[in-house]
Amino acid sequence: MFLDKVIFNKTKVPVLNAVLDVTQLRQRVIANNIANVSTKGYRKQDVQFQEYLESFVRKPPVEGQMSNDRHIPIPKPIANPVVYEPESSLNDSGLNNIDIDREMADLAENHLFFNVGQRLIRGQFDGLKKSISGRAG
Amino acid sequence: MQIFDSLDISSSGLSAQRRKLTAIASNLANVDTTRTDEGGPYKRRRVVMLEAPKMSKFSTMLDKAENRLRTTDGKHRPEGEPRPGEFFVGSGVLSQEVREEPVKPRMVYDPNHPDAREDGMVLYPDINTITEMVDMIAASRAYEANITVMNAAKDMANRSLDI
Repeated sequence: MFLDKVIFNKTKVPVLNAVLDVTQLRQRVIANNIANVSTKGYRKQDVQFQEYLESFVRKPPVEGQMSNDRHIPIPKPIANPVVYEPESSLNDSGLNNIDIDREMADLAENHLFFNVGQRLIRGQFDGLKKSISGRAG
Repeated sequence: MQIFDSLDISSSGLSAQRRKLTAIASNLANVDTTRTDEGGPYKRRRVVMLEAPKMSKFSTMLDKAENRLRTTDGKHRPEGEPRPGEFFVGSGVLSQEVREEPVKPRMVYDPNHPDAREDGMVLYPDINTITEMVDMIAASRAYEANITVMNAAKDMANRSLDI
């Protein structure tokens, strides 16, 4: 759909969509870490959200279509965020490698990041609405 | 629903820590209990935490198995990658069993005690009040941390209604 592309895909909406998606995922990962703060042998998880969002901003110069089996796909901007277990030798509690202060800080950061994404996407839609109705305010 | 998954994870953490506090309260209340139903002094209760298994939801698995697409033509596009919301990251903390730890009872010489043995020794539970208090502080702090996560998740859900 051409119109669809002009209205949504060429704007910031896909990037902001990715921001909201990845912060929701990270929220769950951090919630899981904090819920397991006294679980013996639990290993901390995190999301590679920066790499994921960067792939949205730095798009490849050309977009390819595969019309033959032997075509090699050009990397697409949409890569999935990776949930990984960071290497950390920290084990102060003797139970697991979770640092509760670090988790709470990450939680606050993630929360703010989500709020930023939410406000920007809302502004985007407000702008669209205004341009549809043809008057400001 | 994906939006409430974070709340589910945090609530599993809350109930785990609450169960731990209940066990500690029971231990402190029974610090001098010399009689139990199964005989002998009270045995210490302890809560063990387990990480919830990283399994996908049944509906997701079924959906995947049923709707598997094949690429039979070069022009076919590959199957859509899962969206970030569909990733499974674990579902909190699981079935914390309350078990009675076999411990060596504390022996006190008190021949007039109704539960005294023939040699005049009374068996008391081996509960260290200081250990219990420290565990209690740790559990209540962990409870608070889970509450904070829950509030953040609630706020995020509310804000996404504002978009």
